[in-house]
Order: sequence, then structure tokens, then C-alpha cells
Amino acid sequence: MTGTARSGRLVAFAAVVVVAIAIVGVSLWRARPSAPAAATTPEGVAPPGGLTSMPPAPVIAVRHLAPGDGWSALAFAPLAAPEGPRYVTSLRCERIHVGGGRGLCLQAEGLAGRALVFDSQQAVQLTVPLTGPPSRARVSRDGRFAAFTVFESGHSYADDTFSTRTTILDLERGTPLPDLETWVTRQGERRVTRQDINYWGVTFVPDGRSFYATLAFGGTPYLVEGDLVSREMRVLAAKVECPSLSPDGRRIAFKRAEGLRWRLWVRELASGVEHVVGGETRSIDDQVEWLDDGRLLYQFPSDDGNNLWVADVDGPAPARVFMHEAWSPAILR
Amino acid sequence: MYERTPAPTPSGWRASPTGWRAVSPTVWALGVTSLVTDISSEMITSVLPVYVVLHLHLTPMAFGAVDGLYQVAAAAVRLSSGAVADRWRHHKAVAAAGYGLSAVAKLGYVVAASWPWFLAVVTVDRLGKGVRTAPRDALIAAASTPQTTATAFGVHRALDAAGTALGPLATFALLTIAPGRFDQVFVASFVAALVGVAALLLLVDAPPRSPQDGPPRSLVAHATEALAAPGFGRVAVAALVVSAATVSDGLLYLVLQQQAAFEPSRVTLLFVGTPLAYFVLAGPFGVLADRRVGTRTLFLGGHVALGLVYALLWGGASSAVGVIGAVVLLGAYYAATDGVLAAMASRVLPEPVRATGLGLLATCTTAARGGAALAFGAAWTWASAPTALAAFGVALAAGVVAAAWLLRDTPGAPIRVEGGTA
Repeated sequence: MTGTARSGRLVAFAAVVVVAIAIVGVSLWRARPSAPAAATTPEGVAPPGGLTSMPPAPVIAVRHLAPGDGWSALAFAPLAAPEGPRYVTSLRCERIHVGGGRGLCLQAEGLAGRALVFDSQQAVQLTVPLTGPPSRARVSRDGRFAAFTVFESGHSYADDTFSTRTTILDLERGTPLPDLETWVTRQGERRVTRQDINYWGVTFVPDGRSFYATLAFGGTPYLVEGDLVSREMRVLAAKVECPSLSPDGRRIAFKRAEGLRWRLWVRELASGVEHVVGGETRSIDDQVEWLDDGRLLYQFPSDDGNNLWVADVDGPAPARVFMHEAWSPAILR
Repeated sequence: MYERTPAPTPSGWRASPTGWRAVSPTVWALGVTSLVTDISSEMITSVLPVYVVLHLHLTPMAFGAVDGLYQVAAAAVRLSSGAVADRWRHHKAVAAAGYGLSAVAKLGYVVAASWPWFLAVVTVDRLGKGVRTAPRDALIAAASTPQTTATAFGVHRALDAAGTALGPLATFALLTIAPGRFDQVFVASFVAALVGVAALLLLVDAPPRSPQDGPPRSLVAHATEALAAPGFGRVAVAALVVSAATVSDGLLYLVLQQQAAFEPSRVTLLFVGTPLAYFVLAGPFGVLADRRVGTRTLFLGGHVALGLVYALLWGGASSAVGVIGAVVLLGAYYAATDGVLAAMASRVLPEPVRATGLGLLATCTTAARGGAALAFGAAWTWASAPTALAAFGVALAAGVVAAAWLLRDTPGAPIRVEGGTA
């Protein structure tokens, strides 16, 4: 190899590097989120969702996914007219939940993010840094507690393990409760003392002191019932993930892995009787929200877009779209 | 059966100098190829678990299947790609095929919308990694002299480790600028993979193809011949016994995180800190192996460093000093063993079956490490982390003693060069 030929190839390689940096730069420039919408909407220009103020309760809070300025923002629509105009706020969230005049907005940033607690005017009251990408969010019906789950992933070339971390916030005090992994958990008479435990998907009971959640160890997810005062939990059932308590407090909707897919199921708390949601046969990965005591709301990405779907708990009627271009539903009753 | 064949000296390079300046431009070029390719693949690795579960909505069980699938795919291909490269006597072409395959797979991540496609893409990606490793290491060995092999591997592994450290940082930067846009990570990873292929094709000189003596032989004949090479069997068994007592860094980080109870987000620092220490130490350790202590001492010493990591964690490394110490020792372990083992094996393997032997060796060590990870996980779950660490510490000590005995006759002493100046 002569010196000239080598230097020629070095120049060619340098050109490749410059072109590569340019491609990534342009792609990234086009992908960056547009500047936050101006605080006030100019006269004569319609706001992104059509409504300029919060509609009266009952409302549904969602992550607005229509293309344009308000993409990924917290939005509200009247529960009676979910497909009508929406009030799109300037808070951008990946995951949303509301309750008792408060709300929780999980934002992703890089491989982490932050949790924002907002009040009835959508003013941010509390900001908590997240330790991984957001997954699940819940606020208790009285607005006293909030819970969120994030993914935590390893970045190793030798190992691709990942886990979840769940935090419960006391919104009256503005402080987190001690890490769930330090609470006493019992399975029957025995204490669960394993190392490989993960908690996710909290759902609060309106009594103000208990909740349900998923606890996984040894490759199996379990339904646990927790007590916020005594800081104890007990295992109720196996193969239950992402529980969601019905408004009447009698049933829990959850997802259950069947091979590589997830099906939606419902469990009667008093009797322990479970049945699959017959109207939804696709793989649903969500912590569902109850529309009322007989219908479930959840997000599903399909060819038709990122929409909210509704399924009957007890009937065979097929699931249908409830609200277009919206994810992460939460109902303020 | 064979005399130790001196590696062909690349044109325009004298064999006499040792140390940094003795490293051939081809080795630097292979280092740049690996650096860019590692940035590309680590960008994917760092988002893979989250992407699979959050965006493809696969169950963790499916994720485990993905994980297992690509381990098996990589091992199977690694075993044969070295032999194929030796058989066709075209290591650069086989390595380029491997890098190219992974680059194509990166494009696949951009378009794979459903999980069957995704599984196919992950498999192709890992196949590419399996294909390229052995012929690439054979190219490094061919571009160095016996006096500089360890230094050459050291330089290459240093650049490789730099890529490992930069990949997750690049991902973090991309996702900070464009939150939630995993497609941007995949696009950037694809572009980086193409730059890696360009570096290989444009900057790496293929060694002159030596004339084939006799008719081409089967892949099995290549493998048999590599295994029969004097000294190689001992190197392979030594590598196997210590690898079987090796705890994966991911598991060690997990222990460290639980003991030190630091913020999970800081775990990222571990994943960057170890390759950083590896990057800093790999080059100097290579020079040390070539000029002062020999590959055998360094290889054994590296495993002693790993043993110290176990000891630190066993004792409960909760202070900042303990954590930093463990990360640096782990980097030192990689720097003293990975490239050094390849250099040691390259010296005992005759040139015509060198890639074959390196492929066999990599498969053995990977399989042993995989088994060790399973055993450690089981011991941790059913007993405790300290118990598992203690058991692995004892096994590692026994492995190091066995390896020291096995390698007693291996050319481990530095090769003295008359008039060396560097």
C-alpha cells in the first residue's frame, strides 16, 4: 500500500464520517419536539384541541396524540362527548392519571424523566425525578396518594436484565413513602424475602389506606394487597398483572400473559372468580381504566392509529374505539 | 506437527520496534472499526429491554426468549465463521460480511414494527457479531509480529472499549434531544454501523493471501488441526476453567447496586466506568505483556483482579471508594484478559487455522460464562449474594491455580528483541 493510496482512502473515510454526522444531525433536527406552545393562544387562531378552558366534570383526561402543536400533551374532554373538542394543556406527558383535584404526569427524558404532580388548574405542585422511562401512573380517588412505576434497564453488553421500580407519594406531605421493597410482604404465613422482586402497577382503594399492585418474583407476577399505614402487603393470587380496581370496589381488571401475548381478565375480589374479557382478543399491554362498573378503557396501537378502546366486562360484544388519537385514559368522576 | 509460524509482516513495517509505535496502521484501523461499531451496537443494547417491553408490548417471557435466541445464534456462528475464513483464506471478506450483516440489521430495527420481525432482526444482528469476531482477531494477529501481538490486541480492545462506553452516552444524548424517539436511536445506530463497515473496507489492509498448500480441506479438518496445535488445547482449557468461575458484569453491578444502595440511575455510571477503565488500561497492559511480564502473568493477574472484585463485594463495598475500586478492578480484569487471551492463543495457533482456533476459543469461553451466570443467579436466589460470591471466589482461585499449571509451558515470557528502542 503506497502512502498516496492510503491518504486517498483516509480522505474517503473522513468524507463518510462527515456525511454520517450530517445525516444523524438532520434526522435529529427534524425529530426534536417543536417548541412548547405559547402560553396564550393568539387571537383568531383555534387552540390545538378546540376548547380554551377545562370542561366541567365528569371529564376524561388523556395524552393527546393528534399531530400538531399539542402532541403528547395532557388534554381533557367531557366524558359525555369524548370525540368532541378537547382542552389541550401545555403539560407534555407520557402517562397520566387524575383524582381528587390532583393529577400525575410522567415525562420521559432520555432514559429517565420526571413525575409532575399538578393541581386542578394544571399548575405543577411537585416535581420528582424518575430513575427510568415511565410505565404506570395512578392517583387515589381522594387525591391523597399517587403511585408511579418506571423501568430500570441494564446497559451492559453482557447482560440485558431489567427491572421496575414503584414509588408511592403522599401528596399531602409531598414526600415519598419508603421503598416498597423494604415493606413486609407475606405469602400465606411465610414472609417473601427473595432478592429478585419487582413491584408495579399500583391501584388505590377509595378507603384511603389500601391498594393493590403487582409483585413479581421467580418469573411469576402476583396480585398483592397493601396497607399504606402498617406498610405490609400480602399475596392474593398468581398470574395477575397491572390490576385496576372498579369504581364500586368489587372487581379488579388485569392483564395476564398467555405465551407471548397479554389478555385482559377480570377478578371478583370477594369470591376470587376470574373470567377473560371476551370482547377483546388482541394482546393488550396497559393498566386499564374503568369507564364505569361494566366497561374498560385502554390504549392500543393499531393500523388505525393510537386510540383508546372500550370493552364490555361481561358481554361478548367486540371492543370498539372510544376516543381517537388519545392514550393513557383517566376519568375524573 | 507445526513449527510456530511467524506472522507475515505487513509491508512498510519493520518488525524490530515494540510498544505503541510497533502497532500496524491496520490494527488501528480495525480498532476504529470496532469503536464505531460498538457505539452502534451499544446504542441498541441500552434501549433494547425498554423498547421491547414498552413499545413492542412483548411480555418479559418473550423478552427472555429474544435474549436466549441471540446468545445461541452468536455462539453457533462464532464457532464456524473462523473456520470459514481460514478455509477461503479471506479474513477481511468474512469480517466485512459480519459487520455488513449487523449494519443491515440496524436498518431492520427502524422498520420492524411487530415482534416476529423484531426477533428476526435481533437474530441477524447477533449473527453478524458472531461472524466478525474470529476473522477480525485473526487480522489483528496477522498484522503484528510475535513480539507485538499483545500490544496490538491491547490497542484494538482499548478502542473497542471506548465504543462500549460511548454508545450508552450517545443514546442518552439522542433521547434527551428527541424524547421517546427510539427510531432516532435506530437511525443513528444504523448510520454508525455503516461508518464501521466503511472503516473496515477503506482503512484495513487485507494480509497478502499465502498460497494454498494442497487442496482445500473441510471445516472439520480445520477445527481438528487447530485443536491439535501444540499448546492451544492447554490455552483453551485454561480459559474455560477461569471463565466457568466468572460472574457477568451485569450481575456484579446488581450486587453492587443493592449493597451500596445508590440511586438506580447511577448504575449507568458503572456501565460507563468499567469500559472507561478498560479503555485506559488495555493498551498499557498489552505493552506490559509484550515487553515485561508476558501474556501468561497478565492473564492470571487479570483474574486475580476479578477475585478482588468478588472480595470487595463480599465484604460489602458500600463506600464510594469501594464502588470505584470495584469498577476499576473490573476494567483492569477485562484489559488484562480479553485481548491478552486472544494474543496468547494467536501465538500458539498456526496461521492457516488461526481464525478457526480463535472462534473455538470464543465459543468455549462464552458458553462457560453463560453457565456461570446461570449458576450465580441460582445461588443468589436460593442462598444469598455473599454465599454466591464466596463460592465463585473459591472456584476462581482454583481456576487460576489450574490455569497457571496448564499454561506453565506456554510462551508466556516477554519476547526479548535486540535493539528495541520504543
